[in-house]
Amino acid sequence: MSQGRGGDVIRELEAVFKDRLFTEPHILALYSHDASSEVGVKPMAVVQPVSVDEVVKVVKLAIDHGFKIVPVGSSTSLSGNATPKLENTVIVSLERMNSIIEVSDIDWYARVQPGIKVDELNLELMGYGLQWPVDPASSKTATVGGVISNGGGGMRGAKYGPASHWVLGLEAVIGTGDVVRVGCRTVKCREGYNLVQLFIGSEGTLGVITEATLRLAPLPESFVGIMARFGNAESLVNAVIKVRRDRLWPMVTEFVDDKTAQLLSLEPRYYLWIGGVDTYAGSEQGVLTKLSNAIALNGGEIIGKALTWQDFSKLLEPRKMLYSAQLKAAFGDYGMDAFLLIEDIAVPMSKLPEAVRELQELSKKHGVKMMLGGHIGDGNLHPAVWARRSDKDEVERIMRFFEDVGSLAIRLNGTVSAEHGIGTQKKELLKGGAIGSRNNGRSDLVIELMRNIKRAFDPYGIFNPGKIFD
Amino acid sequence: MMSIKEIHEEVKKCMYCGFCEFPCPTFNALRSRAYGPRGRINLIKALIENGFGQGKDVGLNSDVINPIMTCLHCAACDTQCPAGIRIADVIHGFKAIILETILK
Repeated sequence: MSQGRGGDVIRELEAVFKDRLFTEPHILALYSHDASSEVGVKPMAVVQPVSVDEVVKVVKLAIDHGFKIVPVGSSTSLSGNATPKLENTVIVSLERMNSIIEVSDIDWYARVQPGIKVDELNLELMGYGLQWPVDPASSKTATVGGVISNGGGGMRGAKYGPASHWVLGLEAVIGTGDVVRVGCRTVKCREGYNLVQLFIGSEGTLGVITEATLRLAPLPESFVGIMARFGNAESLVNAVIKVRRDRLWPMVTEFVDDKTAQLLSLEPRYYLWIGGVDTYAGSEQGVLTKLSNAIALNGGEIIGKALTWQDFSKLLEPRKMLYSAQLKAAFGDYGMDAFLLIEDIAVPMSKLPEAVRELQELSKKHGVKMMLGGHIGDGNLHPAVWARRSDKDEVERIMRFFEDVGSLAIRLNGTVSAEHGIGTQKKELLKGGAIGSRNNGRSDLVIELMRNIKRAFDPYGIFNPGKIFD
Repeated sequence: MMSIKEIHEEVKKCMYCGFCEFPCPTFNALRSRAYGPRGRINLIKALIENGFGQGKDVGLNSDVINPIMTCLHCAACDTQCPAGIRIADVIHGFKAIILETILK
């Protein structure tokens, strides 16, 4: 884009957005990366729309002037989804579109703007006895629009599944500047191709989501939970399998390994948090006994029992400190030169003991420091590794570990990305490993289908270029 | 008062998770990244790394000063930070350095 043309663009953006347009370099830098280690570039401008009409206007300007758009919420991606890679980018920040438009406590849906944070929404929904049960660890800050675009999940995923289970309909501005409304307000909705699901996990490459109709669930009437520890991963997984065989369906099933436990100030054992089993008032003790038996039968030691969500939250404190502990470990070892990478794979539950064992072996093989925790109830593991940024050899070992972890997930019939997305960091793993392995090496077949879908939504190639695939 | 060096050591710890924004009264009033703790900390980091307070003119302007100077120092953000950054102290210390620099 020429300098003169660039000046025109800024003037036209200013006419629409006024004091919600930013071109000051320090402010632009705040939108030049996300929470991943991916390095981005300063965009040429940031705009903060407050209506769908303003989003349409910025998309039409992008078509006319040839700039790119990266839609962002809170930029908490751990895969580089929200990191701009080209200078001729305008960041469309949805942070000011943060209203709850409607809550139906009969039809169990909520219509919201994309910039509302997940915890803000759930605090409001508690008043209705309802929840949007998608709770990434970043739920305090992650926006609903960001979680949908990223296909996020969380601790409650074992029971409720990720975002793809909890979105009924969407309004979005696509790359022609048109507004589309897809999906329904009913759980059953069979209106041709399911375009709602195409947007979920599309990482801002198909359009800008401007409104979401979310499916809601009732908050449990009562609650039980347990924290326990085991001598090895196999026993822990067997206890969880026994719970499933007993037809109990916990909301939260989390674990950390022995080395991670030490960093959380716990004895070096394998720890399990299991809770949120649906009970009716009065049946708590019976359910708790079943859970306790499943743990005891597999050699587990119960550390704490909870009969309310508040008490279970206290038991969960060490698990909630996992991210802090990862940061402390990385900074403790390398100070400000620390480079932290948090992986995100999922394997079928039956393969979890094998996955945990092999991850520990891989960390030894590559000589990298690893903390291991995750959402064991849905097979989602988050090995975290760190290196000294200035130590090329150590960073390379981390990257080789990263690739091997992806290969391990594929070999165990799992996935290279459970809930963090592809972004820029996992493009090669997606293409070469995950998709290729399921298509006799013909990843091009499936990637081309994705490219054609992108072209249909975004014919001018405006949205978040370079993400998911090239 | 914290020195530029001490402030820089703190702000460099930011991993950009954004947890600090949730309880921030100014972020919630204005819903703009610069007006939350994450934005302020990273503005301060960039200014220091560009030489601010060390004799270099970084072209300070209201787009950058206003977000920093509007922090209320309630310290609600401090308890949220997984990296343990002393956010309120850092911003307070940097405000003093801004005033010192401007009044010189």
